[in-house]
Amino acid sequence: MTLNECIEVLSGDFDELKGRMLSEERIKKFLRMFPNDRSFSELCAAMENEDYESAFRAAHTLKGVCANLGIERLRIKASEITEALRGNVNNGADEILPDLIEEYNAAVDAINILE
Amino acid sequence: MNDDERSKILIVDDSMINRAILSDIIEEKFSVLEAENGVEAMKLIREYGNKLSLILLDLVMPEMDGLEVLAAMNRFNLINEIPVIMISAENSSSYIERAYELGATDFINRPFNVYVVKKRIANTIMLYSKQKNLINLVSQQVYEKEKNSDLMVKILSHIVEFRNGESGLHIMHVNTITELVLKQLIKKTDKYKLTMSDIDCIVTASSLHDIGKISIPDEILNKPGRLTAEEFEVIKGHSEAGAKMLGFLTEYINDPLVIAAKDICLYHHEKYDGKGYPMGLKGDEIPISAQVVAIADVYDALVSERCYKKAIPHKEALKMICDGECGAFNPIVLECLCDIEATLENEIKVNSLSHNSVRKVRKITDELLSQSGISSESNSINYLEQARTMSEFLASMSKEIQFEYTKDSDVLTVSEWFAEKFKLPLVIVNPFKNEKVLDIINGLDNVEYFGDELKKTTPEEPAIEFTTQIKIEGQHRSHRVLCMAKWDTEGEAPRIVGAVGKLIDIENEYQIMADLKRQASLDPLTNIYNHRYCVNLVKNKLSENTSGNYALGLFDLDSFKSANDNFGHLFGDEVLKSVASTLQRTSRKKDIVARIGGDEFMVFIEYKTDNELKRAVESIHRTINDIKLDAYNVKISTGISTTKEVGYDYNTLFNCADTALYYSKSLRNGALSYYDKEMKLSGFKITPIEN
Repeated sequence: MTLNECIEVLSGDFDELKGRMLSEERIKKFLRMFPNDRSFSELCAAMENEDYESAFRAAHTLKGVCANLGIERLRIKASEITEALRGNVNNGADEILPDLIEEYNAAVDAINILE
Repeated sequence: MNDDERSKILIVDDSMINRAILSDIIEEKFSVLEAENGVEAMKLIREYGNKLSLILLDLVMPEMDGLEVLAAMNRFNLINEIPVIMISAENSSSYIERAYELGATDFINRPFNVYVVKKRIANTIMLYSKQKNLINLVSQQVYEKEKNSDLMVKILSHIVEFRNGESGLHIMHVNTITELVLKQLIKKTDKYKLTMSDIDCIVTASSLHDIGKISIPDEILNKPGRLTAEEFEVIKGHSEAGAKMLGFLTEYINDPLVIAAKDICLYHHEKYDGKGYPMGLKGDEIPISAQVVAIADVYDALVSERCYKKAIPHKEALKMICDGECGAFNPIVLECLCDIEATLENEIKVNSLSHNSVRKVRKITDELLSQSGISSESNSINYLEQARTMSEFLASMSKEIQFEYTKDSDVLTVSEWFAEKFKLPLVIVNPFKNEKVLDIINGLDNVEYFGDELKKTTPEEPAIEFTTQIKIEGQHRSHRVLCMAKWDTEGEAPRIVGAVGKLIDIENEYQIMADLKRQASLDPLTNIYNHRYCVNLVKNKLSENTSGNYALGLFDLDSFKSANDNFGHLFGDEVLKSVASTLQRTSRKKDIVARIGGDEFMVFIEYKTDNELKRAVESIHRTINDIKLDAYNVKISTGISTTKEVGYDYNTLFNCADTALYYSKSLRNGALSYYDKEMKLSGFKITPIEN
């Protein structure tokens, strides 16, 4: 999959992304690091433990990383769950989590087959 | 270039990817340190301190978040040292406001834009280095200013001490005690509304409390025995004389230092019960500055040894003051003196002058910087603007010229006020081909000198300082140049790419010094030279030219005592003034005229022929004998000696004139006599000219 196609799968805006990051190489380099980022697994673990303070931080970090890399659909879910967890409470975060996991898996799949 | 020499940037973000992205953007130009939470960040911040050029700080992090890091940096006073840019997608305004309040310089939002990140980092670093330069300039300026007034104060107080025969420590002790008492006083009451800078000012001014003693004749000032009532009256005159001297500093008459010094001079012998002098002021009619200096003066005089007394032990001195043996003091000031009793003894022992100045400069710098609000400014534009306004303000206040020169483009930038005044552009291209510029800086030689000085600097020590003259409106004025070479260390061999600095006009300080020296050379009553100064002038003349003809004339008023007795001292003063001005008027320009004490005057005359001398002397003598003030006829006796007769030794010349004067006096009726050898050999030979 080319970078352009990959970003399309992630619903990112390729031109915007390239405008910000200035080189395709840089984008690819950091996209490939994404599956190793810990914020997703930390979010899941924190939700499991009902530790909403850690969950909020992890969600917030995930949102930021996604924003930086143009992983747009996951970013939207991460943003929703961040707001649901703001104030360290579970304000409907449980309902968003399955969608978020689905988007995460889709994103990692797409990145894994990046050329 | 290796890692150690590049500017260091600390990236604090809990996401490894975010750190990697930022690092990737900036590592080309900077050396990068990383931390994944606030705790790790604080470790690095404390380890590297201001070696960090910048911190990029995430807001939301585990362990310790971004706001907590900012708070900790505030606690450790590091927030003023290292600029912090916050990174976050968190655009809730309460977070942003809080971060700005805590001293964050700027924000970078996610998603990152490589160009924006680079630009913002570069701008922030530039801004901070400008600020650091500015802080250096400001503290240097404060130091300069302090040095000038310190110097003035030192010269004056040394003149007094020199004549007073007091130990050089007295002034310093008065400084220290004054400061201690005032600081205790503001703890006890806010009645006197004293700020720390008021206190600094009073402390500096306290050095001048006795400058009026310059006007007191040596023989009274340094008389070892008891003073007569009349002599004591003369001593008392030093209060008013001091205030009058300071009044001569017309240009600085509104300077807080001069105002404080005048109060202190005039009132430091007033007593709380109204029994002091010169005004007999009572209670808080006496300025608090003078009240405190008075007690400091009295205490130190008691515990020090003087030619007429032994040192009195600390405890005993304190008791004497409290028991009112040294006159009445303000009860609260007395209390303050007793409160600081314990420190008093020690402080006075350890106090040294250099320590004092350094401490003061630091204090003033701190105060200035804290007032400027430099550290709490909330965004970069305001910040730059404020820095610029402040430096421009300081520049126009002190008439200093700030400049920046860039070598490659050959461009000189100067202060707005300066450019405006000389109708120069703010930015001058090829400045050293510009005739106006060359005229102001006195030609290419000066430019070359400047260049040579800059070449002696190194990237580690880029600053230079020297004094030069520049031409302002056709007038040469001394300027102090403080300047920093701009070194480019990016390339293989470091090179100078320009210079930034300022010129401070110090001509006025020079003039003031000259004025003060002149004041110290004059007799305060009659405004002609005093004895001490005149002796030096005459001795110089005598040693310079041992082939010229010189005469020394002594003039003494007959029955001046009766003028004082019959018409009062004020009238006596008028007589002396009138004689002095007549002497000045009737003598030629190159003659030296002085009051040598009491009712005795001296004129030193350079002449070619005996006839010329005779005409000059007789004209002076006759004119003075013609003076009539009300019912009082001035009569004067005159004695003249010449180098032709007695040689070029000053003391001989003076003693011979004195002998001739003594002879004239014995004739009683306003006589004039010339000294000759026979006068000494055969007793007196009379050469009466008049009557």
